[in-house]
Amino acid sequence: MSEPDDPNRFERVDWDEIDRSGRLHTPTRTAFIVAMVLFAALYALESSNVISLGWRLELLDWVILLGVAVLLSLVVVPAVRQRDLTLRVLGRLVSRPIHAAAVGFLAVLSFVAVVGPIIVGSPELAFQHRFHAPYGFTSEAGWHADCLGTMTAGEGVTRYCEGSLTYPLGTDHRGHPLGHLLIEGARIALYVLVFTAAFVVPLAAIVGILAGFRGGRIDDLLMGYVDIQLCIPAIVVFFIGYMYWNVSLLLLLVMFGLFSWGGIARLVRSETLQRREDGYVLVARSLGASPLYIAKRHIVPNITNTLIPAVFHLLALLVLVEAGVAFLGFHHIELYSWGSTIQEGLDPPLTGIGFVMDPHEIWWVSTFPAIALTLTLASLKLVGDGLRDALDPRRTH
Amino acid sequence: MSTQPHTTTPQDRSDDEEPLLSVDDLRTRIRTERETIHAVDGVSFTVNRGETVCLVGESGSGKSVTCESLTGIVPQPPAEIIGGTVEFKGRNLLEASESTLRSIRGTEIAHVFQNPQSALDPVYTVGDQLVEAITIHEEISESDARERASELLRQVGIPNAPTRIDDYPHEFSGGMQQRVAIAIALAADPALLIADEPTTAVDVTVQARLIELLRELTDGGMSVLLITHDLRVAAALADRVLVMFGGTIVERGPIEALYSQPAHPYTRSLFDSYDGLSRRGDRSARGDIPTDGCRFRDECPHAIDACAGGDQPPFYTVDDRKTHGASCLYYGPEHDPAPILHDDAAVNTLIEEPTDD
Repeated sequence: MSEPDDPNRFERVDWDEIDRSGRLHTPTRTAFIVAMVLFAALYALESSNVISLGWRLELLDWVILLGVAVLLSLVVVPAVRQRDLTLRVLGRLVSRPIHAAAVGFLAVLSFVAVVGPIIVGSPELAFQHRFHAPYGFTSEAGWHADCLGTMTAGEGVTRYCEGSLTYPLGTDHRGHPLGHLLIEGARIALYVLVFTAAFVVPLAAIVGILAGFRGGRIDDLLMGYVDIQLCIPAIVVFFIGYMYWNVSLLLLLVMFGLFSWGGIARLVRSETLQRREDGYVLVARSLGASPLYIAKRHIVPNITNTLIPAVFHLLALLVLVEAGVAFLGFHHIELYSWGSTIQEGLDPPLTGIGFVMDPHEIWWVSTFPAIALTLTLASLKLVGDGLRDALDPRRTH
Repeated sequence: MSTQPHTTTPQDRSDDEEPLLSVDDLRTRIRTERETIHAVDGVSFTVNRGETVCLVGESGSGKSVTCESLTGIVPQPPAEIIGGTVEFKGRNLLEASESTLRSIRGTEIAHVFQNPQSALDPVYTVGDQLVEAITIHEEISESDARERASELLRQVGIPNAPTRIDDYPHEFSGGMQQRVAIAIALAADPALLIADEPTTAVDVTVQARLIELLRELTDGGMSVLLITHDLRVAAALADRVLVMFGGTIVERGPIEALYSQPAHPYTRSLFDSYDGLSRRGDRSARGDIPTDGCRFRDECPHAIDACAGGDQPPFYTVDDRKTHGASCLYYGPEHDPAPILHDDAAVNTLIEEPTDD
């Protein structure tokens, strides 16, 4: 019953899955249960030190892992089971170069976010290498203890260096390579995306469909709650949490996640209200379909053209919010978010101790994360629009 | 116009046969914030096995709500079925649980609706929707279901059914969409087909072909409850006709008797409207329909004081044919129907000229 309606499932439902009373073992449900059991077992074994994964998993990592399990069972399993349709939709999605580029960027981002940290490990402090310019550029502030590239000028402790291939994108004030920081930022962005897609979107969709489809008191109750929630600024709640608990990405995700789904729920509800009056819903009822079946098979696919862009908009928004909060400095100090890196590039921390440094002298520290952030947001929007078009059978001709 | 009683009507059936569907005093009201409308206000009729019964009446007379109340698919709320019995194969559907009703819908009683454009889900191919209709109650393999779907499409007259099965609804014309909708209704081989204005939303040439298709179905022994406002459609298909006005049935009878001698003043005005003789204004120009007594009395040229108050008059036999009844006091023992019958020349030729030509 509680299977979340996932917006990416569409069109051809495989016929084994048709809702028959008493039929519990649909592939999606089975996958969901298996994923949850595996997850719980892993968690139990790891936390009781029976097995060791080699590295320490924080609560945040567990939550994200759970999110991955949810997404795998609710999106990937149905997509693979209906691979004809999935391939057709993907083909349509990448048929326009701009959408293909956006999909490509997000794929690279995800890959880098997962594989990158494993390869390069955690960034280490290397103050002697701070403020190295990217390859092909020359440093404008003479802060280098070591020059890795050619030294262009220098006098006493002041050295000006050319960028070197050791740090192709330059370094920040701690000597962290920018490339490394981008990978770390990508991981955080992916965390935000997984958390939102796995927990926030299903919640919004279920609440919206429930309110729109059942109507009456349930509708009043749910939408009343959503209205209240929409009045509460998430950032204030986040700051209240910030005062009492350790600051963490999880706190940010939970706070903003909990307070950001109201808009989508309202949108889904209003679409559902329209769709449930459509003739095919009445036809399905006249054929003896149950409300749950109608919601899954007829309502969800028919609201995707509204839901999908809104979902991708929310994903982009939360990535931006995370960067913004990190930019303001309310982030975990060991998490190198794009937002915090941009902030460090714009307001070099060394100025506080008496040195004067203009942000433009270390432009690469803020520019590269800003480009990565912009490309991510643009790609999310483009993929949202592209996916909507690709899922609409009326646009195939 | 002949006032001679028909001595025999082919639709006279033996009384001992249990009707397939028997509706008694069905009442459905629709609550809105401003008012409560008694959309169905004491409707009784029966549908026998293999019979085609036609419910005719103007827009808003409660035809659709009646039919949607039978299987409980009328949206509740705002609608509410507040009384009566709907007996189908010996079971009272109004007392049945939702799951029982679900198992009856589609397999026993299927619906076809007016608007074919919205009856099909735009995101699925017609084949998918047919397979859905087949497998919703029956566990058969997908390939078998697709074969059935293809067969159904062929049966309702879709050319090149095996290739068109993977087309989307928007690739079909309105008439073809309605054929698909009929095929979906037929998917589980229902005992009773309820067709709600199936030919209204399509153009006249397509209408004729759809009537042809429906006639094949009715001739094939299926029981059909057909809703229409079009007397010509009724003439082409019906065995018996029920005339509905203001949520009540005002006249009922075998098609030939009723068409050759429409008895109720409303029925007569309905026939007149076909000849351009109607003196009745548009619905919006008229006031509210009374909720007691004879619902038609405000517009009836023959209304008398006795028409007001109480319930809709009982059915009085017309010309002593017990199958032909009119809910009008003039046909009662205390009155003489002559003024109505001789009021104007409500002669209609509809029965002699079936429509599909």
